[in-house]
Amino acid sequence: MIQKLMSLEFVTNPILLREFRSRMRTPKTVVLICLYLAILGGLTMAFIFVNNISSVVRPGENKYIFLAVAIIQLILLAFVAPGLTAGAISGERERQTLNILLTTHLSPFKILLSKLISSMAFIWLVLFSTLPLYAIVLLHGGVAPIKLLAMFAFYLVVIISFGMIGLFCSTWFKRTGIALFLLGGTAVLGEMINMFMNALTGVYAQRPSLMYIMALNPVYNVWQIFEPDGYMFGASSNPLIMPPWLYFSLVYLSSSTLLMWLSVRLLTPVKRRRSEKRIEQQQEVSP
Amino acid sequence: MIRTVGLTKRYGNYKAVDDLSMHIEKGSCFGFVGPNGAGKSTTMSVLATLLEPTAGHAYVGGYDVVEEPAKVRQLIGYMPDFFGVYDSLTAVEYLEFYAGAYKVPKENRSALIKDLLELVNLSGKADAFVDTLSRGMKQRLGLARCLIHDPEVLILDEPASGLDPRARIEMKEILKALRGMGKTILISSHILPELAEMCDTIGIIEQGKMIALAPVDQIAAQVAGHRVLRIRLLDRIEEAGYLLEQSELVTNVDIEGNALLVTYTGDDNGQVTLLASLVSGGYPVLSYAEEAGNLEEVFLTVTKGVGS
Repeated sequence: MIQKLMSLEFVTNPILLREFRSRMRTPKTVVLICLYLAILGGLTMAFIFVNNISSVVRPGENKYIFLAVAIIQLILLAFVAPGLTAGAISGERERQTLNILLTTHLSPFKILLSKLISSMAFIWLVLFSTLPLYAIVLLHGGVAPIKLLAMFAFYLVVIISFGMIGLFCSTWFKRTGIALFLLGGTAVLGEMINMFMNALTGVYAQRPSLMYIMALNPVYNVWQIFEPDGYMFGASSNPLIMPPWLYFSLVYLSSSTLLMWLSVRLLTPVKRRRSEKRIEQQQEVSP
Repeated sequence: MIRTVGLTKRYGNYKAVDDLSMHIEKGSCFGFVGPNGAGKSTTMSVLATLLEPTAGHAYVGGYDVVEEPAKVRQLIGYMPDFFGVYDSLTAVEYLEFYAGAYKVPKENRSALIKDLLELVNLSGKADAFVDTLSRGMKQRLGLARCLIHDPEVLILDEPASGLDPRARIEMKEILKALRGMGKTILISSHILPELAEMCDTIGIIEQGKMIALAPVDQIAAQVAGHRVLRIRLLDRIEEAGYLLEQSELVTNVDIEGNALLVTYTGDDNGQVTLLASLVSGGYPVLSYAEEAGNLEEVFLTVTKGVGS
Protein backbone atom coordinates (compact mmCIF):
# COMPACT_ATOMS: atom_id res chain seq x y z
CA MET A 1 0.00 0.00 0.00
CA ILE A 2 2.74 2.41 1.05
CA GLN A 3 4.82 1.38 -1.97
CA LYS A 4 1.81 1.97 -4.22
CA LEU A 5 1.32 5.39 -2.68
CA MET A 6 5.00 6.27 -3.08
CA SER A 7 4.92 5.42 -6.78
CA LEU A 8 2.08 7.86 -7.45
CA GLU A 9 2.91 10.66 -9.88
CA PHE A 10 1.97 13.23 -7.25
CA VAL A 11 4.49 11.86 -4.75
CA THR A 12 7.33 11.39 -7.26
CA ASN A 13 6.90 14.78 -8.94
CA PRO A 14 10.47 16.17 -8.90
CA ILE A 15 9.44 19.81 -8.52
CA LEU A 16 7.24 19.04 -5.52
CA LEU A 17 9.99 16.99 -3.90
CA ARG A 18 12.53 19.73 -4.46
CA GLU A 19 10.22 22.49 -3.24
CA PHE A 20 9.36 20.57 -0.07
CA ARG A 21 13.03 19.82 0.58
CA SER A 22 14.15 23.38 -0.05
CA ARG A 23 11.32 24.94 1.93
CA MET A 24 11.81 22.78 4.98
CA ARG A 25 15.57 23.35 5.05
CA THR A 26 15.42 27.10 5.32
CA PRO A 27 14.90 28.87 8.66
CA LYS A 28 12.65 31.35 6.83
CA THR A 29 9.88 28.73 6.92
CA VAL A 30 9.91 28.52 10.71
CA VAL A 31 10.06 32.30 10.99
CA LEU A 32 7.09 32.69 8.60
CA ILE A 33 4.94 30.19 10.51
CA CYS A 34 5.85 31.79 13.84
CA LEU A 35 5.09 35.26 12.48
CA TYR A 36 1.76 34.12 11.06
CA LEU A 37 0.76 32.49 14.35
CA ALA A 38 1.91 35.54 16.30
CA ILE A 39 -0.17 37.92 14.17
CA LEU A 40 -3.26 35.71 14.10
CA GLY A 41 -2.91 34.74 17.77
CA GLY A 42 -2.29 38.35 18.82
CA LEU A 43 -5.31 39.66 16.91
CA THR A 44 -7.48 36.80 18.20
CA MET A 45 -6.49 37.35 21.81
CA ALA A 46 -7.02 41.09 21.43
CA PHE A 47 -10.46 40.47 19.94
CA ILE A 48 -11.40 38.10 22.77
CA PHE A 49 -10.17 40.62 25.33
CA VAL A 50 -12.07 43.54 23.82
CA ASN A 51 -15.19 41.43 23.35
CA ASN A 52 -15.18 40.32 26.97
CA ILE A 53 -14.57 43.74 28.54
CA SER A 54 -18.11 44.96 28.32
CA SER A 55 -20.05 41.73 28.34
CA VAL A 56 -20.63 38.80 30.56
CA VAL A 57 -18.54 35.80 29.48
CA ARG A 58 -20.78 32.94 28.44
CA PRO A 59 -18.59 30.18 27.07
CA GLY A 60 -20.14 28.26 24.21
CA GLU A 61 -22.57 30.98 23.17
CA ASN A 62 -20.48 33.47 21.29
CA LYS A 63 -19.74 32.36 17.76
CA TYR A 64 -18.78 35.87 16.64
CA ILE A 65 -15.30 35.54 18.06
CA PHE A 66 -14.89 32.44 15.94
CA LEU A 67 -16.22 34.32 12.92
CA ALA A 68 -13.82 37.18 13.56
CA VAL A 69 -10.85 34.79 13.70
CA ALA A 70 -12.02 33.14 10.49
CA ILE A 71 -12.15 36.51 8.74
CA ILE A 72 -8.76 37.60 10.08
CA GLN A 73 -7.35 34.29 8.86
CA LEU A 74 -8.97 34.85 5.46
CA ILE A 75 -7.41 38.31 5.12
CA LEU A 76 -3.98 36.95 6.09
CA LEU A 77 -4.38 34.12 3.55
CA ALA A 78 -5.27 36.65 0.87
CA PHE A 79 -1.79 38.12 1.35
CA VAL A 80 0.19 34.95 2.03
CA ALA A 81 -1.14 32.82 -0.87
CA PRO A 82 -0.25 35.20 -3.73
CA GLY A 83 2.89 36.27 -1.87
CA LEU A 84 4.17 32.69 -1.89
CA THR A 85 3.40 32.04 -5.54
CA ALA A 86 4.60 35.47 -6.74
CA GLY A 87 8.19 34.25 -6.76
CA ALA A 88 7.51 30.77 -8.11
CA ILE A 89 8.43 31.35 -11.76
CA SER A 90 10.16 34.73 -11.59
CA GLY A 91 12.36 33.28 -8.83
CA GLU A 92 13.44 30.48 -11.16
CA ARG A 93 14.10 33.09 -13.82
CA GLU A 94 16.18 35.23 -11.46
CA ARG A 95 18.09 32.18 -10.26
CA GLN A 96 18.76 31.34 -13.95
CA THR A 97 17.28 27.87 -13.58
CA LEU A 98 14.11 28.37 -15.62
CA ASN A 99 15.66 27.79 -19.06
CA ILE A 100 17.19 24.51 -17.94
CA LEU A 101 13.87 23.45 -16.45
CA LEU A 102 12.11 24.21 -19.73
CA THR A 103 14.46 21.92 -21.67
CA THR A 104 13.50 18.93 -19.50
CA HIS A 105 10.48 16.68 -20.03
CA LEU A 106 8.40 18.75 -17.62
CA SER A 107 5.68 20.58 -19.50
CA PRO A 108 4.98 24.23 -18.62
CA PHE A 109 1.59 23.11 -17.23
CA LYS A 110 3.21 20.57 -14.96
CA ILE A 111 5.79 23.11 -13.78
CA LEU A 112 3.08 25.66 -12.97
CA LEU A 113 0.77 23.13 -11.34
CA SER A 114 3.59 21.74 -9.20
CA LYS A 115 4.52 25.24 -8.09
CA LEU A 116 0.90 26.00 -7.19
CA ILE A 117 0.49 22.73 -5.29
CA SER A 118 3.74 23.17 -3.37
CA SER A 119 2.73 26.69 -2.28
CA MET A 120 -0.75 25.45 -1.36
CA ALA A 121 0.74 22.59 0.64
CA PHE A 122 2.75 25.07 2.66
CA ILE A 123 -0.30 27.26 3.26
CA TRP A 124 -2.18 24.19 4.48
CA LEU A 125 0.65 23.52 6.88
CA VAL A 126 0.26 27.08 8.16
CA LEU A 127 -3.52 26.60 8.41
CA PHE A 128 -3.17 23.38 10.37
CA SER A 129 -0.72 25.06 12.68
CA THR A 130 -3.50 27.54 13.58
CA LEU A 131 -5.86 24.78 14.77
CA PRO A 132 -4.78 25.14 18.43
CA LEU A 133 -5.85 28.80 18.17
CA TYR A 134 -9.30 27.67 17.07
CA ALA A 135 -9.35 25.36 20.08
CA ILE A 136 -8.84 28.38 22.33
CA VAL A 137 -11.48 30.34 20.44
CA LEU A 138 -13.94 27.45 20.75
CA LEU A 139 -13.86 27.92 24.53
CA HIS A 140 -15.55 31.27 23.98
CA GLY A 141 -18.05 30.27 21.37
CA GLY A 142 -18.54 27.13 19.35
CA VAL A 143 -19.65 26.34 15.84
CA ALA A 144 -20.76 23.05 14.34
CA PRO A 145 -17.88 20.88 13.01
CA ILE A 146 -19.52 20.85 9.56
CA LYS A 147 -19.22 24.64 9.44
CA LEU A 148 -15.58 24.39 10.39
CA LEU A 149 -15.06 21.96 7.50
CA ALA A 150 -17.04 24.22 5.16
CA MET A 151 -14.84 27.12 6.17
CA PHE A 152 -11.67 25.16 5.39
CA ALA A 153 -13.13 24.06 2.05
CA PHE A 154 -13.83 27.71 1.30
CA TYR A 155 -10.27 28.58 2.28
CA LEU A 156 -9.10 26.02 -0.27
CA VAL A 157 -10.94 27.85 -3.05
CA VAL A 158 -9.51 31.17 -1.86
CA ILE A 159 -5.96 29.76 -1.68
CA ILE A 160 -6.18 28.30 -5.20
CA SER A 161 -7.64 31.49 -6.66
CA PHE A 162 -5.35 33.98 -4.94
CA GLY A 163 -2.35 31.68 -5.39
CA MET A 164 -3.12 31.48 -9.09
CA ILE A 165 -3.17 35.29 -9.36
CA GLY A 166 0.32 35.33 -7.81
CA LEU A 167 1.51 32.58 -10.13
CA PHE A 168 0.20 34.39 -13.19
CA CYS A 169 1.96 37.62 -12.17
CA SER A 170 5.12 35.61 -11.54
CA THR A 171 4.96 34.13 -15.03
CA TRP A 172 4.05 37.38 -16.73
CA PHE A 173 6.62 39.64 -15.11
CA LYS A 174 10.31 38.93 -15.23
CA ARG A 175 11.09 40.15 -11.70
CA THR A 176 9.56 38.94 -8.47
CA GLY A 177 9.60 42.49 -7.12
CA ILE A 178 7.36 43.75 -9.91
CA ALA A 179 5.03 40.76 -9.51
CA LEU A 180 4.72 41.46 -5.77
CA PHE A 181 4.20 45.18 -6.38
CA LEU A 182 1.38 44.48 -8.84
CA LEU A 183 -0.15 41.99 -6.45
CA GLY A 184 -0.14 44.69 -3.80
CA GLY A 185 -1.83 46.97 -6.32
CA THR A 186 -4.43 44.31 -7.04
CA ALA A 187 -5.06 43.89 -3.31
CA VAL A 188 -5.55 47.64 -2.88
CA LEU A 189 -7.91 47.70 -5.88
CA GLY A 190 -9.82 44.75 -4.41
CA GLU A 191 -10.09 46.60 -1.13
CA MET A 192 -11.41 49.72 -2.90
CA ILE A 193 -14.03 47.63 -4.69
CA ASN A 194 -14.88 46.05 -1.37
CA MET A 195 -15.38 49.47 0.26
CA PHE A 196 -17.46 50.58 -2.69
CA MET A 197 -19.62 47.49 -2.29
CA ASN A 198 -19.98 48.18 1.43
CA ALA A 199 -21.20 51.65 0.58
CA LEU A 200 -23.75 50.10 -1.73
CA THR A 201 -25.19 47.71 0.83
CA GLY A 202 -27.69 50.39 1.82
CA VAL A 203 -29.19 50.40 -1.65
CA TYR A 204 -29.11 46.62 -1.94
CA ALA A 205 -32.84 46.31 -1.32
CA GLN A 206 -33.53 48.49 -4.37
CA ARG A 207 -31.05 46.64 -6.60
CA PRO A 208 -30.94 42.91 -5.80
CA SER A 209 -28.83 42.27 -8.91
CA LEU A 210 -25.89 43.73 -6.97
CA MET A 211 -25.81 40.37 -5.24
CA TYR A 212 -23.92 38.96 -8.26
CA ILE A 213 -20.99 41.21 -7.39
CA MET A 214 -21.48 41.08 -3.63
CA ALA A 215 -21.27 37.28 -3.61
CA LEU A 216 -17.75 37.52 -5.06
CA ASN A 217 -16.50 39.07 -1.83
CA PRO A 218 -14.78 36.32 0.19
CA VAL A 219 -15.49 38.00 3.53
CA TYR A 220 -19.24 38.01 2.85
CA ASN A 221 -18.97 34.34 1.95
CA VAL A 222 -17.25 33.40 5.21
CA TRP A 223 -19.99 35.33 7.00
CA GLN A 224 -22.58 33.43 5.02
CA ILE A 225 -21.12 30.07 6.05
CA PHE A 226 -21.82 30.93 9.70
CA GLU A 227 -24.94 33.02 9.12
CA PRO A 228 -26.76 31.46 6.15
CA ASP A 229 -29.87 33.54 6.80
CA GLY A 230 -28.02 36.82 7.20
CA TYR A 231 -29.27 40.22 6.08
CA MET A 232 -28.42 39.91 2.38
CA PHE A 233 -27.99 36.28 1.50
CA GLY A 234 -31.15 35.20 3.26
CA ALA A 235 -33.27 37.98 1.76
CA SER A 236 -36.27 36.94 -0.29
CA SER A 237 -35.11 39.20 -3.16
CA ASN A 238 -31.77 37.32 -3.47
CA PRO A 239 -31.52 36.62 -7.23
CA LEU A 240 -28.80 33.92 -6.98
CA ILE A 241 -30.13 30.55 -8.04
CA MET A 242 -27.36 28.76 -6.18
CA PRO A 243 -25.70 29.10 -2.79
CA PRO A 244 -23.34 32.11 -2.76
CA TRP A 245 -20.32 29.96 -1.92
CA LEU A 246 -20.99 27.82 -5.01
CA TYR A 247 -21.35 30.92 -7.17
CA PHE A 248 -18.14 32.32 -5.65
CA SER A 249 -16.29 29.04 -6.25
CA LEU A 250 -17.47 28.72 -9.84
CA VAL A 251 -16.43 32.27 -10.75
CA TYR A 252 -13.09 32.17 -8.95
CA LEU A 253 -12.10 28.66 -10.04
CA SER A 254 -13.06 29.43 -13.67
CA SER A 255 -10.92 32.57 -13.49
CA SER A 256 -8.08 30.50 -12.02
CA THR A 257 -8.39 28.02 -14.89
CA LEU A 258 -8.20 30.91 -17.35
CA LEU A 259 -5.15 32.34 -15.55
CA MET A 260 -3.50 28.90 -15.62
CA TRP A 261 -4.12 28.66 -19.37
CA LEU A 262 -2.64 32.12 -19.91
CA SER A 263 0.35 31.26 -17.70
CA VAL A 264 1.00 28.07 -19.69
CA ARG A 265 0.88 30.13 -22.89
CA LEU A 266 3.33 32.64 -21.45
CA LEU A 267 5.72 30.00 -20.17
CA THR A 268 5.77 27.86 -23.31
CA PRO A 269 8.97 28.96 -25.06
CA VAL A 270 8.19 27.73 -28.54
CA LYS A 271 4.70 27.77 -29.95
CA ARG A 272 3.98 25.56 -32.92
CA ARG A 273 3.48 27.50 -36.10
CA ARG A 274 -0.06 26.32 -36.66
CA SER A 275 -0.95 29.00 -39.19
CA GLU A 276 2.21 28.34 -41.20
CA LYS A 277 1.62 24.60 -41.04
CA ARG A 278 -1.93 25.07 -42.25
CA ILE A 279 -0.69 27.12 -45.19
CA GLU A 280 1.88 24.43 -46.03
CA GLN A 281 -0.78 21.74 -45.84
CA GLN A 282 -3.09 23.77 -48.07
CA GLN A 283 -0.28 24.19 -50.57
CA GLU A 284 0.31 20.44 -50.57
CA VAL A 285 -3.38 19.77 -51.18
CA SER A 286 -3.66 22.30 -54.00
CA PRO A 287 -0.47 22.17 -56.06
CA MET B 1 22.53 15.57 -36.52
CA ILE B 2 22.06 19.34 -36.29
CA ARG B 3 20.92 21.38 -39.25
CA THR B 4 19.78 24.96 -39.67
CA VAL B 5 18.29 26.32 -42.86
CA GLY B 6 18.11 30.08 -43.30
CA LEU B 7 17.72 30.46 -39.55
CA THR B 8 16.84 34.02 -38.59
CA LYS B 9 16.03 35.51 -35.22
CA ARG B 10 15.00 39.11 -35.04
CA TYR B 11 14.37 41.32 -31.99
CA GLY B 12 12.52 44.31 -33.38
CA ASN B 13 14.81 45.74 -36.03
CA TYR B 14 17.87 43.96 -34.66
CA LYS B 15 18.84 40.70 -36.34
CA ALA B 16 20.52 38.47 -33.75
CA VAL B 17 20.83 35.60 -36.23
CA ASP B 18 20.70 36.30 -39.93
CA ASP B 19 20.00 33.57 -42.48
CA LEU B 20 22.23 31.02 -40.78
CA SER B 21 22.65 27.68 -42.48
CA MET B 22 24.91 24.95 -41.15
CA HIS B 23 25.12 21.21 -40.80
CA ILE B 24 26.78 19.21 -38.03
CA GLU B 25 27.45 15.53 -38.58
CA LYS B 26 26.59 12.90 -35.99
CA GLY B 27 29.46 12.24 -33.58
CA SER B 28 31.38 15.36 -34.52
CA CYS B 29 32.40 18.28 -32.38
CA PHE B 30 31.52 21.69 -33.75
CA GLY B 31 33.16 24.80 -32.33
CA PHE B 32 31.09 27.94 -32.50
CA VAL B 33 33.25 31.04 -32.41
CA GLY B 34 32.34 34.68 -32.44
CA PRO B 35 32.59 37.90 -30.47
CA ASN B 36 30.05 38.74 -27.78
CA GLY B 37 26.65 39.48 -29.28
CA ALA B 38 27.46 37.64 -32.51
CA GLY B 39 24.44 35.33 -32.22
CA LYS B 40 26.01 32.15 -30.81
CA SER B 41 23.85 31.94 -27.69
CA THR B 42 20.73 32.85 -29.66
CA THR B 43 21.38 30.05 -32.14
CA MET B 44 21.99 27.62 -29.29
CA SER B 45 18.79 28.75 -27.54
CA VAL B 46 16.82 28.08 -30.74
CA LEU B 47 18.37 24.62 -30.99
CA ALA B 48 17.55 24.01 -27.32
CA THR B 49 13.85 24.80 -28.07
CA LEU B 50 13.94 27.88 -25.87
CA LEU B 51 13.55 30.49 -28.59
CA GLU B 52 11.29 30.59 -31.57
CA PRO B 53 13.06 31.53 -34.80
CA THR B 54 11.62 34.45 -36.72
CA ALA B 55 12.27 32.65 -40.02
CA GLY B 56 13.98 29.54 -41.28
CA HIS B 57 14.19 26.12 -39.68
CA ALA B 58 16.39 24.27 -37.23
CA TYR B 59 16.51 20.50 -36.89
CA VAL B 60 18.07 18.25 -34.29
CA GLY B 61 18.17 14.54 -35.10
CA GLY B 62 15.80 15.28 -37.97
CA TYR B 63 13.16 16.86 -35.71
CA ASP B 64 12.09 20.45 -36.25
CA VAL B 65 12.72 22.40 -33.02
CA VAL B 66 9.43 24.27 -33.40
CA GLU B 67 7.20 21.42 -34.54
CA GLU B 68 8.52 18.67 -32.28
CA PRO B 69 10.24 20.33 -29.31
CA ALA B 70 9.59 17.38 -26.95
CA LYS B 71 11.48 14.98 -29.24
CA VAL B 72 14.32 17.46 -29.60
CA ARG B 73 14.54 17.84 -25.79
CA GLN B 74 14.94 14.10 -25.46
CA LEU B 75 17.97 14.27 -27.76
CA ILE B 76 19.77 17.25 -26.30
CA GLY B 77 21.64 18.15 -23.17
CA TYR B 78 21.81 21.93 -22.92
CA MET B 79 24.14 23.97 -20.79
CA PRO B 80 23.59 27.76 -21.01
CA ASP B 81 26.40 30.28 -20.63
CA PHE B 82 25.00 31.38 -17.27
CA PHE B 83 22.98 29.06 -15.14
CA GLY B 84 21.98 28.82 -11.54
CA VAL B 85 21.75 25.87 -9.21
CA TYR B 86 19.39 25.06 -6.37
CA ASP B 87 21.54 25.95 -3.40
CA SER B 88 19.57 24.05 -0.78
CA LEU B 89 20.21 20.68 -2.46
CA THR B 90 23.22 18.40 -2.32
CA ALA B 91 24.99 17.39 -5.55
CA VAL B 92 23.21 14.03 -5.52
CA GLU B 93 19.80 15.60 -4.83
CA TYR B 94 20.42 18.12 -7.60
CA LEU B 95 21.03 15.33 -10.10
CA GLU B 96 18.11 13.31 -8.69
CA PHE B 97 15.85 16.28 -9.33
CA TYR B 98 16.83 16.41 -13.01
CA ALA B 99 16.69 12.63 -13.32
CA GLY B 100 13.05 12.95 -12.19
CA ALA B 101 12.48 15.84 -14.58
CA TYR B 102 13.79 13.68 -17.46
CA LYS B 103 11.77 10.67 -16.27
CA VAL B 104 14.81 8.48 -15.77
CA PRO B 105 13.54 5.21 -14.18
CA LYS B 106 13.86 5.43 -10.40
CA GLU B 107 15.73 2.14 -10.05
CA ASN B 108 18.52 3.33 -12.40
CA ARG B 109 19.06 6.71 -10.80
CA SER B 110 21.50 6.06 -7.98
CA ALA B 111 23.94 4.05 -10.15
CA LEU B 112 23.66 6.60 -12.95
CA ILE B 113 24.29 9.54 -10.63
CA LYS B 114 27.29 7.76 -9.11
CA ASP B 115 28.76 7.19 -12.60
CA LEU B 116 28.15 10.77 -13.67
CA LEU B 117 29.74 12.22 -10.55
CA GLU B 118 32.73 10.02 -11.21
CA LEU B 119 32.90 11.19 -14.83
CA VAL B 120 33.02 14.83 -13.77
CA ASN B 121 35.36 14.16 -10.84
CA LEU B 122 32.84 15.11 -8.18
CA SER B 123 32.45 11.78 -6.38
CA GLY B 124 33.98 13.30 -3.28
CA LYS B 125 31.38 16.07 -3.26
CA ALA B 126 28.30 13.88 -3.65
CA ASP B 127 26.77 14.96 -0.34
CA ALA B 128 28.06 18.52 -0.38
CA PHE B 129 25.49 21.28 -0.75
CA VAL B 130 25.66 22.84 -4.19
CA ASP B 131 26.26 26.33 -2.80
CA THR B 132 29.51 25.15 -1.21
CA LEU B 133 30.97 24.07 -4.58
CA SER B 134 33.45 26.22 -6.49
CA ARG B 135 32.50 27.69 -9.87
CA GLY B 136 34.48 25.01 -11.69
CA MET B 137 32.74 22.27 -9.71
CA LYS B 138 29.33 23.83 -10.42
CA GLN B 139 30.17 23.88 -14.14
CA ARG B 140 31.12 20.20 -13.99
CA LEU B 141 27.96 19.42 -12.04
CA GLY B 142 26.04 21.28 -14.75
CA LEU B 143 27.69 19.08 -17.34
CA ALA B 144 26.71 15.97 -15.37
CA ARG B 145 23.17 17.35 -15.30
CA CYS B 146 23.24 17.63 -19.12
CA LEU B 147 24.13 13.95 -19.34
CA ILE B 148 21.51 12.62 -16.92
CA HIS B 149 19.19 11.35 -19.69
CA ASP B 150 22.08 10.16 -21.90
CA PRO B 151 21.45 12.65 -24.74
CA GLU B 152 22.99 12.17 -28.17
CA VAL B 153 23.66 15.88 -28.62
CA LEU B 154 25.33 18.28 -26.22
CA ILE B 155 24.78 22.00 -26.68
CA LEU B 156 27.32 23.75 -24.48
CA ASP B 157 27.37 27.52 -24.41
CA GLU B 158 30.80 28.62 -23.21
CA PRO B 159 31.19 25.86 -20.63
CA ALA B 160 34.69 27.00 -19.68
CA SER B 161 33.91 30.69 -19.19
CA GLY B 162 35.01 32.10 -15.87
CA LEU B 163 37.05 29.05 -14.94
CA ASP B 164 40.66 29.11 -13.75
CA PRO B 165 43.30 27.34 -15.92
CA ARG B 166 43.15 24.09 -13.94
CA ALA B 167 39.35 23.94 -14.11
CA ARG B 168 39.53 24.68 -17.83
CA ILE B 169 41.88 21.78 -18.39
CA GLU B 170 39.61 19.47 -16.35
CA MET B 171 36.58 20.59 -18.34
CA LYS B 172 38.48 20.03 -21.61
CA GLU B 173 39.42 16.51 -20.58
CA ILE B 174 35.80 15.67 -19.73
CA LEU B 175 34.64 17.00 -23.08
CA LYS B 176 37.26 14.93 -24.87
CA ALA B 177 35.96 11.87 -23.00
CA LEU B 178 32.40 12.69 -24.07
CA ARG B 179 33.50 13.04 -27.63
CA GLY B 180 35.08 9.63 -27.32
CA MET B 181 31.65 8.31 -26.28
CA GLY B 182 30.28 9.38 -29.66
CA LYS B 183 28.27 12.39 -28.51
CA THR B 184 27.63 15.13 -31.03
CA ILE B 185 28.87 18.33 -29.42
CA LEU B 186 28.11 21.92 -30.30
CA ILE B 187 30.31 24.11 -28.16
CA SER B 188 30.98 27.81 -28.10
CA SER B 189 34.00 29.45 -26.59
CA HIS B 190 36.22 32.48 -26.69
CA ILE B 191 39.32 30.38 -26.12
CA LEU B 192 40.02 29.43 -29.69
CA PRO B 193 43.11 27.25 -29.29
CA GLU B 194 41.10 25.12 -26.86
CA LEU B 195 38.36 24.70 -29.42
CA ALA B 196 40.92 23.81 -32.08
CA GLU B 197 42.16 20.98 -29.86
CA MET B 198 38.70 19.51 -29.34
CA CYS B 199 36.67 20.27 -32.44
CA ASP B 200 36.51 18.81 -35.94
CA THR B 201 34.85 21.83 -37.44
CA ILE B 202 34.88 25.51 -36.61
CA GLY B 203 32.22 28.04 -37.51
CA ILE B 204 32.91 31.73 -37.07
CA ILE B 205 29.84 33.90 -36.62
CA GLU B 206 29.54 37.63 -36.51
CA GLN B 207 26.50 39.90 -36.49
CA GLY B 208 24.35 36.81 -36.84
CA LYS B 209 26.03 35.65 -40.03
CA MET B 210 28.30 32.66 -40.48
CA ILE B 211 31.38 34.23 -42.00
CA ALA B 212 33.60 31.15 -42.07
CA LEU B 213 32.87 27.46 -41.72
CA ALA B 214 35.44 24.74 -42.31
CA PRO B 215 37.26 21.78 -40.75
CA VAL B 216 39.58 22.99 -38.05
CA ASP B 217 42.76 22.37 -40.06
CA GLN B 218 41.39 24.24 -43.07
CA ILE B 219 39.71 27.19 -41.45
CA ALA B 220 42.79 29.41 -41.59
CA ALA B 221 43.36 28.61 -45.26
CA GLN B 222 39.70 29.06 -46.14
CA VAL B 223 39.42 32.35 -44.39
CA ALA B 224 42.70 33.44 -45.89
CA GLY B 225 41.51 33.88 -49.43
CA HIS B 226 43.93 36.61 -48.51
CA ARG B 227 46.98 36.89 -46.32
CA VAL B 228 47.57 39.20 -43.42
CA LEU B 229 50.72 41.29 -43.40
CA ARG B 230 52.03 42.79 -40.21
CA ILE B 231 54.07 45.91 -40.96
CA ARG B 232 55.81 47.62 -38.06
CA LEU B 233 56.81 51.24 -38.52
CA LEU B 234 58.74 53.68 -36.43
CA ASP B 235 56.20 56.46 -37.08
CA ARG B 236 53.88 57.89 -39.80
CA ILE B 237 51.63 54.83 -39.27
CA GLU B 238 48.34 56.42 -40.31
CA GLU B 239 49.94 57.96 -43.39
CA ALA B 240 51.39 54.57 -44.41
CA GLY B 241 48.03 52.94 -43.85
CA TYR B 242 46.38 55.49 -46.15
CA LEU B 243 49.01 54.80 -48.84
CA LEU B 244 48.43 51.03 -48.64
CA GLU B 245 44.65 51.44 -48.85
CA GLN B 246 45.13 52.95 -52.32
CA SER B 247 46.29 49.55 -53.62
CA GLU B 248 43.60 47.44 -55.29
CA LEU B 249 45.05 44.33 -53.64
CA VAL B 250 44.61 45.65 -50.11
CA THR B 251 41.10 45.12 -48.74
CA ASN B 252 41.58 46.31 -45.21
CA VAL B 253 44.12 48.07 -43.02
CA ASP B 254 44.00 48.05 -39.22
CA ILE B 255 46.31 49.85 -36.85
CA GLU B 256 47.55 47.92 -33.83
CA GLY B 257 50.03 49.86 -31.76
CA ASN B 258 52.94 50.73 -34.01
CA ALA B 259 51.96 48.08 -36.55
CA LEU B 260 49.62 47.86 -39.49
CA LEU B 261 47.60 44.69 -40.10
CA VAL B 262 47.06 44.63 -43.82
CA THR B 263 44.62 42.24 -45.48
CA TYR B 264 46.22 41.52 -48.82
CA THR B 265 44.74 39.52 -51.69
CA GLY B 266 47.66 39.58 -54.16
CA ASP B 267 50.62 37.28 -54.80
CA ASP B 268 54.29 37.36 -53.68
CA ASN B 269 55.36 39.81 -56.42
CA GLY B 270 52.68 42.23 -55.40
CA GLN B 271 53.80 41.90 -51.81
CA VAL B 272 57.32 42.94 -52.83
CA THR B 273 55.93 45.89 -54.78
CA LEU B 274 53.94 46.96 -51.73
CA LEU B 275 57.08 47.00 -49.59
CA ALA B 276 58.98 48.87 -52.29
CA SER B 277 56.30 51.56 -52.40
CA LEU B 278 56.61 52.06 -48.63
CA VAL B 279 60.40 52.24 -48.71
CA SER B 280 60.49 54.58 -51.72
CA GLY B 281 57.98 56.79 -49.95
CA GLY B 282 60.46 57.13 -47.09
CA TYR B 283 58.35 55.32 -44.51
CA PRO B 284 60.46 53.97 -41.61
CA VAL B 285 59.61 50.25 -41.93
CA LEU B 286 60.88 48.22 -38.96
CA SER B 287 59.56 44.85 -40.04
CA TYR B 288 57.40 43.44 -42.80
CA ALA B 289 56.07 39.91 -42.30
CA GLU B 290 53.21 37.62 -43.18
CA GLU B 291 51.08 36.68 -40.18
CA ALA B 292 51.00 33.05 -39.12
CA GLY B 293 47.57 31.63 -39.79
CA ASN B 294 46.69 30.64 -36.23
CA LEU B 295 43.08 30.48 -35.23
CA GLU B 296 43.09 33.57 -33.06
CA GLU B 297 44.61 35.66 -35.82
CA VAL B 298 42.09 34.27 -38.26
CA PHE B 299 39.33 35.17 -35.83
CA LEU B 300 40.65 38.67 -35.32
CA THR B 301 41.08 39.09 -39.03
CA VAL B 302 37.63 38.01 -40.11
CA THR B 303 35.63 39.53 -37.28
CA LYS B 304 35.31 43.20 -36.66
CA GLY B 305 34.26 42.89 -33.03
CA VAL B 306 30.92 44.53 -33.69
CA GLY B 307 28.64 44.05 -30.72
CA SER B 308 31.49 43.19 -28.37
